[in-house]
Amino acid sequence: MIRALIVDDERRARAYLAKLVAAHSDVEVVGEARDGESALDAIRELRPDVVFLDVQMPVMTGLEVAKALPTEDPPIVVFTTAYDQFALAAFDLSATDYLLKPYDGDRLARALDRVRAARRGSAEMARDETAERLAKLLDALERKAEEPAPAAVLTRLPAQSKGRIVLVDLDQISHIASEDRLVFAYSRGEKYLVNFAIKDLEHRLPRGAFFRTHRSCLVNLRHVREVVPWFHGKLMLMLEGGAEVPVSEDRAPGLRAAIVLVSYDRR
Amino acid sequence: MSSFQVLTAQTEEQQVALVESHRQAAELRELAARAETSALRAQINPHFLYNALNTLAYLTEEDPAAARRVVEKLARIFRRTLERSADATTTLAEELEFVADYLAIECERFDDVLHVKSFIEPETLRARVPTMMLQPLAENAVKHGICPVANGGTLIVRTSLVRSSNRLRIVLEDDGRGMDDSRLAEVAGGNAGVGITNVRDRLQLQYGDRASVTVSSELGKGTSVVLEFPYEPADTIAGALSRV
Repeated sequence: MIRALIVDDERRARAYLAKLVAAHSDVEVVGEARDGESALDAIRELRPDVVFLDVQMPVMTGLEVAKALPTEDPPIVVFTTAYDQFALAAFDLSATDYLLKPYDGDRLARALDRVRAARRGSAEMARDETAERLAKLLDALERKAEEPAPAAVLTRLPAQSKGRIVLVDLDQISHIASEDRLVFAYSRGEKYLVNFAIKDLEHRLPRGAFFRTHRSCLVNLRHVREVVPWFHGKLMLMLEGGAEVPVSEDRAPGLRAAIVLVSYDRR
Repeated sequence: MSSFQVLTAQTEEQQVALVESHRQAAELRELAARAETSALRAQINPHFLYNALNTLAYLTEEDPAAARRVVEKLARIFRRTLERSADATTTLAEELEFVADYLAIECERFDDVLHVKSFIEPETLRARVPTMMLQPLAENAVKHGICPVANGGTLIVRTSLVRSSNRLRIVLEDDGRGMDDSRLAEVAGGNAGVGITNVRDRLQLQYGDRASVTVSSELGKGTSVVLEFPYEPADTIAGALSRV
């Protein structure tokens, strides 16, 4: 008999999964839990073979529960989630099993097949595999947290000018800066309102073309005419078209690496 | 031309430029606000939808009548999200209907923990309000207030007119988990809680100092959010003008 524990903050989601699991005669639902803490208690007490673990739960998420699992003889974890691109990418990377809501009987059957296969193998191997997978998952999640999900790279920048939407050529933009919580792109003496946050744009502009000089500004490196050393380790960029943009001290080394400091060397 | 005249001419020119730049700034702000709201509206949380479908899958066999209710409400939510994405404002009546549909589905999802009550002053229903402003607040109350508590709780929605200042007051209060002072300070300071920050920004953009958002909370007792802003009935000239 495979002993299963179902963890979910929604009573009906637990009941629904229990019902789908009941179609498999070799699986028995030995318990349910509605939050992370009682899940950990139930795992210690009931020693289930498999835990269906909802990712999004208040207070303690499913991922946090997975991190806190007993290291000795941990259960096989099958995550369940309605929608979480972030977690799904990490699951795929680490080959962690998961079920999407609404639940799908076939998908559940496949997940249970994997549980059966793992149990047929040596307990030791299963344990190592589980631990390895979990480590990979947590590693992937940590890396993901630092590196936001990739969004499509822009080729032209949609912006507003005089009530119209214009697509501004990236090559023609000298810099993009926020003022008073609005973001503007500067191109050939014109100023355009942009509906992106600076931090999102940083990842959506072609790599290497623009540099984040400080919290509220991105500079097109090809439009930099001069780089002037400034106070307190800062740099000042003189852009074509006359704009001056400071580079904060912590970003100055990055800028130096990103640009050939021709004009700086001449000074 | 005397130097005085030149000066006056310049000043006038400067003034025109100044007025123009102010106008442009206002226009940009308005555009930004509209962009923000449309982006927000387009974003019906997919997590909510898939969970609702999961509840539905369960209910179709266990409680077909409840399943039908969920379908009706989901359909209304879809329709509203798809159809009304161009309007920046709506009536409180429509806004409350949307929130009621949303909460009805959440009540089916969390049938053992979530309860909802509302006390609506009939006169407030005509009030013009920013679209999709209340749903994120209701979502916060459910997700962060009530669901974390094992025994659940009640969300109360109240609307009234503050006659002395001719303002509309909307209150969402729950008896859920609440927040400690440091968390409350973060939320009140706009450093946390996308929902509340967004609501504050939108009211600020639209009404400036005439709008207020007050969040109070006590750990273990619950949270209340009070919105106040000018009451503009949708069917009056003033209401219509305020939309232009």
